[in-house]
Amino acid sequence: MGERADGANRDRAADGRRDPDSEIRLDGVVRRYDGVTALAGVDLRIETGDLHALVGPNGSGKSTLLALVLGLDRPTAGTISRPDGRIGCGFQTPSVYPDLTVEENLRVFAAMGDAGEDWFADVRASLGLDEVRDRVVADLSGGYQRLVDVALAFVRRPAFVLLDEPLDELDDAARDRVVGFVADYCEGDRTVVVSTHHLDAFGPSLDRLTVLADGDVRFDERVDGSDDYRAIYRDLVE
Amino acid sequence: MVAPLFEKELFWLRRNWRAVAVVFLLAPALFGVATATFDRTVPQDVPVAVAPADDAVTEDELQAVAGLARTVSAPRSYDSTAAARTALRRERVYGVLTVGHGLYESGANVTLSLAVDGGMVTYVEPSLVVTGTLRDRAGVFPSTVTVERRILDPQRTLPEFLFATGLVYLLAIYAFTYVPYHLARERRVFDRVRVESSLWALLAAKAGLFAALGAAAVASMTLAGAALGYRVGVADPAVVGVLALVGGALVSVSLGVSFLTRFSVAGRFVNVALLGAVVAFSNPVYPTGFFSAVRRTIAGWSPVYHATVAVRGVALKGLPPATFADRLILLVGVALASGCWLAASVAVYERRGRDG
Repeated sequence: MGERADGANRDRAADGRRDPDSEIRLDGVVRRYDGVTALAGVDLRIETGDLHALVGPNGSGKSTLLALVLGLDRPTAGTISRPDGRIGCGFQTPSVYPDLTVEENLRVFAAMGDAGEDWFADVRASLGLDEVRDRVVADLSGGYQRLVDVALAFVRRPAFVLLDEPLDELDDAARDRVVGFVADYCEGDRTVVVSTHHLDAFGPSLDRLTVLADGDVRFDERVDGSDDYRAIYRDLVE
Repeated sequence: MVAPLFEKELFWLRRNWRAVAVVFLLAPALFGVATATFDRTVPQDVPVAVAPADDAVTEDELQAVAGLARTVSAPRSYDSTAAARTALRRERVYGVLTVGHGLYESGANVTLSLAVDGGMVTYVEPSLVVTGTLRDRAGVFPSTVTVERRILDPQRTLPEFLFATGLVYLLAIYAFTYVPYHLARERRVFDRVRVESSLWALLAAKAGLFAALGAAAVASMTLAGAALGYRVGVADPAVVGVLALVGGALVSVSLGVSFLTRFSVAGRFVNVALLGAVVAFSNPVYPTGFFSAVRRTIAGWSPVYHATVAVRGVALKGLPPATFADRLILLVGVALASGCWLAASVAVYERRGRDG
């Protein structure tokens, strides 16, 4: 599979469809705190148009990596380059206004961009939030709060979206909705990176897989729906 | 069954020892120390101006009267009654003791006149102690000494006085309790705000919200005051300006503490402790030096005290804000310094990485 993936990369670079300035790039990124090395020199490219999965065991550095890319943390060493424009984000702990309704939360962050009313309604409907749009978020279940958090990541229709454990606390139907929505979103130039333990759910739609363990990149290849992700992961990590 | 749960409490104690130290060690100790600053209930350290009635009054006469007054006030010499009156308006002193000439001349009639500000309601009655003491001791002079007391306009009632004074303290309570609580409620969205916008934009929005709510509070107090027939100009633009300055400063301090402690329980108690200190040491009701000289000194360090004086002067006594120019300049400086403190705290908060 590695040969096939490398070949796909070379093809894309050769035909000039990828602009290096429009990708997210990490070079030699190290993050240490309190004597713990969360990331130990990570080199990574996040290219446009991909559904890119970031997987690894607990404490492997996934959330740290996303926080660094989002600018919420600073690397101890190394550089991170991001394209211009906002990056959408979903957080491990839903980052939402608890005292506002679903609709009000979405309105607040949608107003920071200009994605339009149709897109706003599409995000809300596609993620199954229409029925709770007027409910205060603090009163909703953990699953719905997760969906609101995911919706907020997309509501401005950014070119890049980073999602940290977007399927946690969701029932099967909600998972399917999120996976379908994310896969559709990546059609074209838009990119979604998902840090997840639910590799199987995203598997058929994935374009790229990065496996992190102990702060290092153990695997970073283009993939397609036919790959046995569990086997790859098991061989590298377990 | 109790032992395991008690063990849990020990685990909790080990994890949260900083907050526990603040709440159960530092705060009680500070409370104990604070009581030491209440020395007496005689206004012995309240500053009172001693000024000559005319040019004929000698330095010896002024010193002699100051000596008599020292047991019930902290006398300060002024060259003229006019200068002393200006100090009285500015609340640098709380009474003006005018000394007539002829104290050491047998058979002369001399008047010692204590003028107190009718707006400084809580000193009007205690000032009787000063005149009473002077009257008791005036026999040491060979002259015939008459001691009188005059209350200068505008005279105000105790409710009116408390109404004007309470404004700043109400503001302090909101600044150190409600505002940090309000922001802490939204802490979970800070990471998203940092990515989509910035914490500074969030703080600017909060400033707009609380400015509007503050205006509503002032309007509400104005209506309440009018209904009660109080003669207090709470809605005076200068009063609103002072409230905005001191409110901005206090909120910056409390939010700085909150950001620096990452909205922890310890930070909440630090803010409550600061509120306690502000209320206890800013002389909200009595003149500076009423309970001790130490409290007079500490009050001089408190921007809340200076703001209270300015608000009281404008709202209660109808004085022009320029009367308190020195205090207002100090408040501007404090507000700027508090803003820098908040900026540094937010920078540290962001530098430490993400929440959650």
